[in-house]
Amino acid sequence: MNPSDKHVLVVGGGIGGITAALELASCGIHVTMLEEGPSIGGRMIQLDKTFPTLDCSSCTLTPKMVEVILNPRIHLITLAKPIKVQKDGVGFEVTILKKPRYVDEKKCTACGSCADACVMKGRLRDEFNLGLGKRAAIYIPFAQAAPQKYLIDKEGCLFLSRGKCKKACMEACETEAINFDAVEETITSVYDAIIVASGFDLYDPSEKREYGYGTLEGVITGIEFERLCSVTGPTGGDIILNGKIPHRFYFIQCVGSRDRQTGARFCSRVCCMYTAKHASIVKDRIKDAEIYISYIDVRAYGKGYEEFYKSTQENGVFYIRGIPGEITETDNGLRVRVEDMLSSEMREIEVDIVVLATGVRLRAGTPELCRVMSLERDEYGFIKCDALHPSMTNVEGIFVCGMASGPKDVPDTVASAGEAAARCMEYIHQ
Amino acid sequence: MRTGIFICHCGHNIKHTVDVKKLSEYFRNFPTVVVSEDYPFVCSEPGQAMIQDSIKKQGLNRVLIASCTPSLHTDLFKDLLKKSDLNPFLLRRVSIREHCSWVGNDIDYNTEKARRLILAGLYSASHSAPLEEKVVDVTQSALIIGGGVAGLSAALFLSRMGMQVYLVEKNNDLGGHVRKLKNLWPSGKDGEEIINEMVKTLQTRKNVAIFTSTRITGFEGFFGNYQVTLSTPEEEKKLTVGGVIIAIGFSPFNPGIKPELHYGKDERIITTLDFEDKGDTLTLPPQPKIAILHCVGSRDEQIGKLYCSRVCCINALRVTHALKTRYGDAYIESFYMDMRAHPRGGEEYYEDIQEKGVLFTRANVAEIIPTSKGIVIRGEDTLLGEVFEREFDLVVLSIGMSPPEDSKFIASLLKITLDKDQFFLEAHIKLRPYDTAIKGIFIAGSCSGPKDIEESINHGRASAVKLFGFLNLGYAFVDPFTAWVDPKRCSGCRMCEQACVAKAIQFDEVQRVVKVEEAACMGCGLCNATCPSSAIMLKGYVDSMIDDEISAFVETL
Repeated sequence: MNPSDKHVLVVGGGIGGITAALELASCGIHVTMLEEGPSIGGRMIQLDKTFPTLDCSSCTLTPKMVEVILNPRIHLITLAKPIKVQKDGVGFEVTILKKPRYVDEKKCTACGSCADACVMKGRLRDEFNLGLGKRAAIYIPFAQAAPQKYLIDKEGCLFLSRGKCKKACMEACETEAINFDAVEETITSVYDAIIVASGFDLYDPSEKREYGYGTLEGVITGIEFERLCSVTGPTGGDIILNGKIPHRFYFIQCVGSRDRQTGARFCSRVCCMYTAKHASIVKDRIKDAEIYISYIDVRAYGKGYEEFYKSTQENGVFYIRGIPGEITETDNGLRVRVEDMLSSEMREIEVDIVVLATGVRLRAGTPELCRVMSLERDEYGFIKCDALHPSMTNVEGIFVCGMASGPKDVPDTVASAGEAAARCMEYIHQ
Repeated sequence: MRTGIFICHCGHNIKHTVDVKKLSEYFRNFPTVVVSEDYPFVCSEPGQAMIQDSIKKQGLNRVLIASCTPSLHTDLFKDLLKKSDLNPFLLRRVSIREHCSWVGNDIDYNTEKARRLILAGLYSASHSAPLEEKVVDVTQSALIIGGGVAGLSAALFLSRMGMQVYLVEKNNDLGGHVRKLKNLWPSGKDGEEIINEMVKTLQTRKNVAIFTSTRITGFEGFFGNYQVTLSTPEEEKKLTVGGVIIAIGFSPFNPGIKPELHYGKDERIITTLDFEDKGDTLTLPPQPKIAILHCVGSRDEQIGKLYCSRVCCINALRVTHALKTRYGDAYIESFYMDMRAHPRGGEEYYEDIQEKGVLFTRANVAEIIPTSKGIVIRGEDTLLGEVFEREFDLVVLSIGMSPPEDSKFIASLLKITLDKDQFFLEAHIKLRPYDTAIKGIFIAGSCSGPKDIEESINHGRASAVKLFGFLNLGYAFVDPFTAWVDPKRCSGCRMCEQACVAKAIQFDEVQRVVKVEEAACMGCGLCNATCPSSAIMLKGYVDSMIDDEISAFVETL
């Protein structure tokens, strides 16, 4: 096989897609990576730290993102997704839809003058920070984004949505990178194989009314908490909610996991540990914090996890076996009602903040992606595969890795991405 | 010395809080500086053209770019130097964005800090020398130590890609522990079937040499060219390989070291592994009472094993399921601490077994006591807060994974590191979970910590693809930042040999000095710092360069 004749499509630019693409490129294979959003990095780049070593997530992932950008064998297309996939011999003819960025990637130097000038500055919901921060209509999703290129949010931009704006951004841009006339494009190419690393979404706990998410002030999700304590987040890493530093914390695990009512009998594999991580971050930053964690079973199964769980407990975090039935508002915060199964008593605990450890769900675009690629899905909608052939799908030549086939933590995602890259090479080596 | 200094505005990023004009004018007065410019975007095409033009017209032999962090755009500027016929290692980057303009808003303070950073860079650059990236030949073959699922998966991939594979297994058959397991979950297959399928494919490949009943007894060399000695009781064999995948698995925990369990004292107390052999020949009374005990040899501080063995909850459920299927009327009680049924489908499996009438009791078990009647389990029910004593006809111990018995031997032979539990240590627990600190040596499967079959297969193939990436060209580039030993100053104390994590330092017994194998050196500088005779220098980062850089920054020059 002459690897440089081969071309693989990797769908998704999270840690799974990045790992698979870099492994393939290191073996000489050309890779086109599609990312639906404006930057690669996926969910991992939204995390403050990672368990169990409390490594800064950005610090470990950013160099990999830069490697993708700089690797001459990897061609990254952002704001893009496949819309048509047809088997073509052993390979695939793929039609890619690319949404416009309205900023010329070749000219933009990410100087930020445009965003400063934008009249919508500080007025639009910042998705990367889950709405906890605000941004302009022309923006970069986060400081370490790759590529380091701005884009315009079509709905938020006054000119693109209403046709009326003084277009101060254009004036501010010294490299003349802004192009309001940019349009959607389709690109059709042939690839020898495909790796799907489309990742996951998180459970929306609004339907669990007993927890009051969305109605009670102070009830937030784990990923929101992640942005709240992140140095790159809207508060610069200070844990501040509604202008105050909370001191009493309640973390609830298995929200939307191991829960038939929410249609998910499965375990999400990451929430036990990310909650232990959150608790230890709080202990580190707010010394006198009072922290409770509700759990069913603590699943600290990975390397170093049990030790991390133990040390979290030893640091004075209270683990309560039992999942709360109700959260209500009090004059002085939130009241959590929980049956402590170890002491068999009903407890009422008053806290300032409740963090819901929401479980993993398939990514919103997965059903459509699977329809386009004729991929079978399991009962929860994740891409179907089996334990002995972890990356193989029902379509020969299309491989899957990471959370797209079900919950995984980072090391498991990395290993599954390596396996998918290997299987993919075995497939194209014919 | 003809240095060109280029100071980037980075749009407003730097210009807003650093007086870039003042800086470019200031550095024009230095005798070694022939060009000093500030520019809106040094990385842009016109910015690059400006640098290229200056190199040619002014005959620059040092280029200093003060801009964003060196992790951005360094390759771009290196290429620019190459295109201008200047050695790329004569480039010096100074970060005045991440280290300066982004840190604070005080223009005077930032400008002064930027001035010092550039000054330090200027002094440092005066010590830089042209360096060449070296190319070394690598042997396109792999040694795989261990013939379990991880090792077999690695061998299947590498041989398929046309690489010569040497698969070494100390036992007389391949397949490791998986071979012994029956009716695996979730596939329903026997381990033997899975293994035989893999081995059958491997045997059809001409580029695979399988050595069973064989051990590794010698290991020398460096990345791309390792010399390995294989030994059987009859003979010795020498091989040269480009890289190694260690996949030596685990040892089942021996419950004999916990006397309170009375394992081995009564045949009605068995392990989950014994069940694979004895499961068919058990003699149990009608309506038998069976206990399953989780976490035997895991999460146990008393025996110094704090870690979770990751696979035993599901393995215990599998055995529980087999027993309940065989003895439909049995009373089965499972004693657990936390039910870790995390694999795909595991939670549903756990629920289904609960629905079949198996009782799960959250408990701490203190003792298992064989009596003439039955086996008594004494413990504390942690949900009810009550002490209990119950009698059973059979007790199955769900044993954990201990490190492989050869981990210490292999670690010392290949000079790699073990973790506190004597499993192999990963280079990075998250992003490099199957790499070691040494290039070309990988750890796959349970030898770096407990893993199930799916995870071991992932590790096997994932480590193999990485090794393939290193070896497939037949040559490899070696970073020029390697250590160099001055033989005149070396006293032969060999302290550097101990410090070197890459095992790149060799002692010359005749000359009584050490030398560095460049292909193996990672350029970390540990030897440099350790050497009491200052005999070692790191190319590209010589001591005088660092000294001058620091002195310039604090202005003591």
